[in-house]
Amino acid sequence: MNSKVTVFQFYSILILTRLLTTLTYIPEYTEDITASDKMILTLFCIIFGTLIYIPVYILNKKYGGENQKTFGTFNKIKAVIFSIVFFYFSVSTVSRLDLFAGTVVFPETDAKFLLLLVVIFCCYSAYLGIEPIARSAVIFIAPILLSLSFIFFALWKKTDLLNLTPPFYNGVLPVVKASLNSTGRTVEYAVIAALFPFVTGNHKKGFLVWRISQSVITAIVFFFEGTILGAFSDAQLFPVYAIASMARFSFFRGLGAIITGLWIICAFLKTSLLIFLQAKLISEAFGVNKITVIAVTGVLLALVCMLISGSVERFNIIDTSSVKFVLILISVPILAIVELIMRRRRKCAKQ
Amino acid sequence: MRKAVIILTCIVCLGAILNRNTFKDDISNRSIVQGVGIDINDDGTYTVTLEIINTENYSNADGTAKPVMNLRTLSGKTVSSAIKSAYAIDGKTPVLSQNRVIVIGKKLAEKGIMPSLDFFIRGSENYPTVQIATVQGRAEDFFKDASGETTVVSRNIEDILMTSEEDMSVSSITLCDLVNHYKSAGASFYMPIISTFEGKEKKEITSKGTAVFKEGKLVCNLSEEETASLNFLCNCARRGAVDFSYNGVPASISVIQNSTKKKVDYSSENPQFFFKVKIKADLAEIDSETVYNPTQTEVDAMKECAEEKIKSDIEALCRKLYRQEKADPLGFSRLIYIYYPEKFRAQEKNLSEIMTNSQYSVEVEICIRRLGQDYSS
Amino acid sequence: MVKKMNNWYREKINEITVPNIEQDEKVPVKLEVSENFKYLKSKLNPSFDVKYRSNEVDGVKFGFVMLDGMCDNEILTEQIMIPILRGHYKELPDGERVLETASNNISGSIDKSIQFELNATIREMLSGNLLMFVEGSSRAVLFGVQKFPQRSISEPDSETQERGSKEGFSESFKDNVALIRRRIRTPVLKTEIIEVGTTSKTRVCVAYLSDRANEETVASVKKKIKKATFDVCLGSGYLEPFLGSEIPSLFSGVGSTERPDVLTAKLSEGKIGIITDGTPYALFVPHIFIENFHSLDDYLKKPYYAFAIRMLKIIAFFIGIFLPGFYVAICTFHQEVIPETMIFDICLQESLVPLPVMIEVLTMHTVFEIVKEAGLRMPRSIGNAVSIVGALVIGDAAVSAGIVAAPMLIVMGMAAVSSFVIPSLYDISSLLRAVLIVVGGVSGFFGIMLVFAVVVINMASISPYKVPFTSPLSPTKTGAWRDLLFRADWRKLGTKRLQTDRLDK
Repeated sequence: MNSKVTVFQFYSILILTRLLTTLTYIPEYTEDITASDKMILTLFCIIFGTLIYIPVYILNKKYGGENQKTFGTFNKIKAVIFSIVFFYFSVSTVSRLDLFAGTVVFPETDAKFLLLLVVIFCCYSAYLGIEPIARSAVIFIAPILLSLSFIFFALWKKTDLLNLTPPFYNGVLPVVKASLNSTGRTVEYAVIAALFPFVTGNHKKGFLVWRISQSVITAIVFFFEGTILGAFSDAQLFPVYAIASMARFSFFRGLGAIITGLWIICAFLKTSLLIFLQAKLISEAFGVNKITVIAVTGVLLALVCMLISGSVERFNIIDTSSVKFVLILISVPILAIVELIMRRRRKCAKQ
Repeated sequence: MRKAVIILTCIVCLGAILNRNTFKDDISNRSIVQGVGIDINDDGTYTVTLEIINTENYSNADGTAKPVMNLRTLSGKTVSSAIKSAYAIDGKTPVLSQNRVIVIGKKLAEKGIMPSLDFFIRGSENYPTVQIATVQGRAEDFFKDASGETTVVSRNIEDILMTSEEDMSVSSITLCDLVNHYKSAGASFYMPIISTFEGKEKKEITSKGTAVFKEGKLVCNLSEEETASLNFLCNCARRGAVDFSYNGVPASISVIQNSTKKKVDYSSENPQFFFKVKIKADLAEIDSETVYNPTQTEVDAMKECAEEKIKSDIEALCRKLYRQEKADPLGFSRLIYIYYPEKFRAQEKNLSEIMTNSQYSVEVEICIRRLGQDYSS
Repeated sequence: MVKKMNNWYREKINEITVPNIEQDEKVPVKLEVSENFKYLKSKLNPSFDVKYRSNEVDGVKFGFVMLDGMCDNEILTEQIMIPILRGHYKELPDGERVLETASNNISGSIDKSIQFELNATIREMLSGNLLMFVEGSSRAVLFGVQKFPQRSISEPDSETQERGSKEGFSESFKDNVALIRRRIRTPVLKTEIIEVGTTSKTRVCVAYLSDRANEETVASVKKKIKKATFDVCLGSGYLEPFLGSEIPSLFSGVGSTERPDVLTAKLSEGKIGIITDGTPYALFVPHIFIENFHSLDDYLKKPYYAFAIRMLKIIAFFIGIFLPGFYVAICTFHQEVIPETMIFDICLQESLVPLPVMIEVLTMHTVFEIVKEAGLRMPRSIGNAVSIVGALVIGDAAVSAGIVAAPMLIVMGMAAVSSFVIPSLYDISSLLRAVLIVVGGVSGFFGIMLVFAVVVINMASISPYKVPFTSPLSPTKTGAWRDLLFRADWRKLGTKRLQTDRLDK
């Protein structure tokens, strides 16, 4: 890949893609933990995330300059694994978008055509490349964060600290488990592993800023969710949408519509990025035309999502936390460690 | 390839535009619901009263204008089916996103309201900030009684309930807070009672007291004074008037600002709750024969009388709710949950007994800001 | 099947078109004047305005060819014909000496050029030059005596400024270049001429400041202009697609202006100007998106006011694009957003209208566009009548008749007026507005934001001449932010100038 993106652009994309996961979270994922624990889990996420990131960082710091095609077969396996991960997560993202659209925006309408349009536009963005996606992320990040701040500012008066809960009420283990689940849902680690060599700048600083800011944003979202909705959040499919719809500021009401807008922009960027990465990896590893890969990925994605659309059961199958955790575990630290070992052995053999 | 993609995109766009539902959900094809009343019938079915904006903009034969709002009375086995049946009447789908208030009939309140509220909790169209109130009779009759040519009943109810911040004798609760209280320990909540009275030209709406619920069922009503005490304890009311007696003469202070701090001490066998109510007020009125400026000693004495009045009212309320009705609509057990989680966990099932035996200590501190009337309020 | 469709379409195009092939014949100037006349007549006849004159002066035959109406007859007679006809040529050995002597007799203030090739002489003659042949000479002389009807320099209609100069470009190529020269009196200003159009041979001037324009960009611009394949170039807009981004987009990465002061400012930032003969619109590259919100008045007034105006323009731009779409989306899908005080009025008014909200807004958008086009094209004499009809159609009568709703009219009116705040983006905002109306009616905020995201990504993919269209916002170049929304004071801004090619990546 000739084009490069800066650390700032790259982590702007990741902030937005991770923000999507935060805004669209379903309480079922954190059913064993209470409101205060949700804020604490973000700290655990920093720790687990950093642990996952370390092998990737060491690999690229030590061997990042070397020819990526050194291990022909291994590269192909790596490309396939990453593609599966990215495909799985893109299906999950688009399906969740469909679930949201079907629940909130078009409860009485069939949204399959719109789903197709989303996939087509994402394929088009993937075709344009990583640079436009990165630049768009930088353009969107300020208005999105400002909109969120506006919503939270409008909600400030509705917070009630008595809705918070004692920390670790159900024990530490559920919190750790939920953190691992949350880490498993973070496809951004796999994106970092895939794009690390093509990002220019201070990676360590970028990663830390991203990880910490992400946790802060998530903690703030959980804080507002806990203090405003309290136990009511368990009865909502999308609690963040529920609190946004409660926000009122003077003339403005129903700020859930803003969340709808933020949601679609973040989902669009995320899906475009994942399709692009699949196309890049497969085309580089197997020498296939990138456009062909994008087209095939788009068609498969559309087919699978249309299959899932309209059925909560099928959505729950595709949205399993444990599967996602295993995929991230394999694709990020394990693959990085295996590659480190292989490169070290090769280096020793040469010497 | 590019042309194929463009053609495919155009086909998909056309498909999206020519979807059979494209023009169906227009605002002109929908009934905008402003208020919902729910009653339960003897056979277990629900009667739902919808207050809908009247979009027919022409006059009656006698030249009078048509009313601003329409009332639709619908029946169904569930609230959802009752509301959906509105489509059969005027061919328009009801929209609940502009719903301001849900009014619960007395019979339904006594039987248990949570099943009927499930539709509003589950649907994303319904806002969690909708106000909820109850009436002494049927919600259907209330709406019919209160409606008029230019009256928007639900707007009036909402306006009255929103004054709870300015008038301590009025309480209010939203759907979100109600469910939050219900799902917390104690499963108890409160709800304002609304009623109509004969105004100068038409029936007016007012709020008279508060209804207390336990496990979703109505257990008792609170008077306006008790409602004021409830608002003190909940930290809901910022302003209002407190009447007291000084040397046999009625007097009143106008509350400008108040805050209540709640603490719990569970070191002994039973929990002890401490409430410290801090009030900033103006001396509003002394109904004596002579008009005079009281001295500092007299002001202190009046302050003590007012403090004593508020304290005794709050203690009476606590006794009524926790000892008599064994309900915890104020969520005090939550304090135990937050500060003594282990004890809470051990006694979660016996909480109402624990609360009955707990001690309530109230301290009221009033700061008289001005001795004259506050004309600005 | 797609290939078959493609081939079929190409055949249909070939049926009615011929390729733009430039004729590369090179025919040398002949020694006989009559032979030269014969060749010219074979190429130019029948054309009544091409005048051929032959005179014998002192035993030597001279041939003159000119375009009637393109030459200054006074200069032609006084400064060219009379000196030539009074010359003495008998003792000169050959035609070449005669030609040289005759040329030297002409005043030095008149442009002279020598041509050896007849087709080149034809091109020059058709530009208003006087063509002279001498018997026995294999060269022709062209005298610059152009005087054709042209508009005087006046204030540009499309870019009025409060405090800026009142001069605008005109159709005269040389005058336009002179207006730039007047403002940049340094030798670093370079002006190179390129001809475009296989038939029109329109002259295009590429202007740049050699000490700041990127050499690669200059070479690229010249290459692209030379590669432009069309028959006749009637305006700078013909060149835009060749100069802009290759990625299909609503935005082109090529800016245009009618003002010499604006073009001068762009040149000083290292951009390259393209001035086309016959059109008052000059182009400049590379153009970035944020420049659409900048105007010369921003630099002539106080910085805080400039900031307010720029913010106003940005807000107006977004209102012009999004407001009608949002209105349709809110009325169709997101009724919860409507404030309580407005829900009654909107509901009542919309229920009286027979059309669905989306069709209603789209219809009104179309009507606005019709009225705007009519206002642009109609003769001034019937302007009042059309204005009255337009107002009636769109105004109170339409609302009273129940064809449209009053809130919708206000929304459309605001959007239409807002989109005129930035004339350079009017066509884009009009198109996007229509698209977002349909999208809003079909899919609410969901679709509007999706389309917005796609447009932004498409915009971000444009990098004409390696300068991203969305810079300095993305890629972030904070050094350029001193003149992004807020303009720094001239005491700071003047110390260092912006170098456009440093905005790349």
